[in-house]
Amino acid sequence: MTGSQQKPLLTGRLEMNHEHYVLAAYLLTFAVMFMATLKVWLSGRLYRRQIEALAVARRRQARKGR
Amino acid sequence: MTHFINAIVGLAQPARFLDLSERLLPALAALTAFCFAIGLYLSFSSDVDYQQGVTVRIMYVHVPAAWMAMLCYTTMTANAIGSLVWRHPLADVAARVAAPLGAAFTLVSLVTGAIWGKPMWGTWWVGDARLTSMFVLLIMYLGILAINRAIDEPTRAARVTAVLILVGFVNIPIIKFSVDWWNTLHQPASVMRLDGPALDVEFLRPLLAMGLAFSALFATLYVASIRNEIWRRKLITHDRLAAKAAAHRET
Repeated sequence: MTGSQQKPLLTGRLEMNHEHYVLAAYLLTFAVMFMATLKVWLSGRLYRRQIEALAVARRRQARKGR
Repeated sequence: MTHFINAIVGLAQPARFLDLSERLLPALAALTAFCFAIGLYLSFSSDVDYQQGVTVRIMYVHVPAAWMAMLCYTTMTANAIGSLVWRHPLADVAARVAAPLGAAFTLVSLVTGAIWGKPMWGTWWVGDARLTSMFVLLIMYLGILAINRAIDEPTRAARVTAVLILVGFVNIPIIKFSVDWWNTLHQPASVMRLDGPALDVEFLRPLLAMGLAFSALFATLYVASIRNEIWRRKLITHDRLAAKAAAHRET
């Protein structure tokens, strides 16, 4: 095969069939929904810990005050 | 009747809401997982369309995401009215936290629509009335998020955001009726029609199951986000009070 006949590696078009489009749509949907759920869950966990730490500190302060 | 109204008003108290959401969230999360399991099973076991082939399955995530995007904005508008008219703090919280969820659903709806459009229409995007109005909805959500974060003073931020939400609500009927008012490439409504759904039951079943799953997911994330925002505001108030007390001690 001469140099001019060689198929370039990076210029081939990505052929997608209908199954690929369906897979892409579902993957994207669940990726976005998962990220949204993760963000809500992680921030909830962070705030809950801070609120609990605050409650413990307040209880300690109240005991000291007595 | 008075008892019922008192019960509803009682729920709007942040402390009562936190208590209720603590018990409600595990049930909502379980319902979401169950509905998604059923919805996904029905989506991939239903027949394919004779014209669209398997691509019809994209509809089972695209359409519920679009429904949720509009439902989310409508919920935000109802809360914005509550925030503006009654100045209820929980209404402001509920209006604020819906924006990122709505933006996520709108993004999913737009991108899955584009993924469906490429093999069916031969293009990812057209300047169609339905597509453009959905894109405007995404911009509205992002604008509301940006404005809310740009204003430091909470009361002013709540008022400005509520007004912006109310003004933006005009886009919701435009999205819904755009396919009837203009000649669009996007197909007309096939489920929420006065004369009943135009879809065959084979396609309607997975679509409604996924619609229920998306609704359960929205309810779960919404309740959890409201709870997070109440906690966040409690922490901010505590920090401000602590800073004030420290300043007072110094002087």
